[in-house]
Amino acid sequence: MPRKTMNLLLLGFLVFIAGCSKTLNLQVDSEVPTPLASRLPLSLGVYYNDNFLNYVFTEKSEVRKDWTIDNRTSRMTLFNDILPSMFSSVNKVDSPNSQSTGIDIVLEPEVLDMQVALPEETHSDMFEAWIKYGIKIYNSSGNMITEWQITGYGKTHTALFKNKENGLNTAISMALRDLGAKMVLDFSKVPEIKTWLSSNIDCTQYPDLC
Amino acid sequence: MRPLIIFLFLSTILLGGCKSTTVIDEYRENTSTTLIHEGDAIVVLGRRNNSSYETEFDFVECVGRSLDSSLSGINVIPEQSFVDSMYPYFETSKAPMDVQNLDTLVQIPQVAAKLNDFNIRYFVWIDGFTETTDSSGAISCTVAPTGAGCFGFATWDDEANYEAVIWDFKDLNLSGKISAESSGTSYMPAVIIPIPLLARVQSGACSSMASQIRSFIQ
Repeated sequence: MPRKTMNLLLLGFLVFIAGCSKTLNLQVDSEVPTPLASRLPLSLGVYYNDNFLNYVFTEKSEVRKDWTIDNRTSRMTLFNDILPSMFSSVNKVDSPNSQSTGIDIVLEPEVLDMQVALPEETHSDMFEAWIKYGIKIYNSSGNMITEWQITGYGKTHTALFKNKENGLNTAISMALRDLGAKMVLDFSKVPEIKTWLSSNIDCTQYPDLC
Repeated sequence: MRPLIIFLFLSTILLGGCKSTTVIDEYRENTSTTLIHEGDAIVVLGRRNNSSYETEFDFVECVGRSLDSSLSGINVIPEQSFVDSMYPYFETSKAPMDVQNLDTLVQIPQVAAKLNDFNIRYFVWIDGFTETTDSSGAISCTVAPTGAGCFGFATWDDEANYEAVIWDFKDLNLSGKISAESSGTSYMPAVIIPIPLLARVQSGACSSMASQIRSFIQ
């Protein structure tokens, strides 16, 4: 067989193998728009613990050999973009109980769970992603007010030739966007936070929050 | 001469079979106030809260583009640009599900100001999807050192079902609903090269729906 034909066949075989590959190494790239929101009259301290800073989704099952999805940059960008639109000031703190002066409330977010699904696994024609965060909320004395759990969901329709990296990246980006929307719109509706707000802000000036 | 006649005969049958049929239905809530004026804006959005399907972005874009090209003096706001500008109020999990929710939303000063900046008159919410309902036949392709080629015949049926709900932002009420159902059969004969003879089901639904929305609001 001529060398050129051999090379073509080998190339075709490699493309075929790559298409069937069960490994995944995805670096999620996403951003959220600036929210249209009125800021709460509170000075926020945010504590990023080791889980939040370092969580990377990994899986080594039979069907998902060596899967790694890293969205550390995207989730840090999400919090850096969303929190300043929710509170009058935002400062990083070294501990959730730091009791820094001028801080009214402290958030400590962490990633509790993350799941993704491929079209062939769910027999649908969609890539899907779920991300569950737990956000511990402390008062200025370092006492925990509540732990708020929120889940972001994202899905994207399969398109011809859309590979799993692109499909999952879009689904995870949409899940992060959904998380951001829930943080902005649902934070002051959490019962424990609503109770805390009613005794820590001027209710005559902010009647909707009390 | 005879093979040419047979070829033309078969081609005519196949092309004729690729036709798609579209049925449009309209429900008008209020006939007196549904009119758009020059300088007004309209936004076409997709409903994506159903877990079993997703209204395709390209279908929503297609309806928006068709309206934009046929409505002179009317601004048709692209879906993604609108949703980004209104973030997070029009995200899938937070978007108003009925016109009463929109009324609640406009009580928020930032939302009201942004919608006024857009000068929106109508919201058009599109819900639905296109699917392949049946397929048969087979095509096999072979690659060999001497060459490559395909042989066979495949056919499939597509169905598109969409509903557009139109909200009047000026009067904060439901103006009406338009539904489009389109179906068609596509064929792909393959003799060395596969020749797709596609029924344009989704684009037929898109153009019919855009045309009906245009006549609805003008």
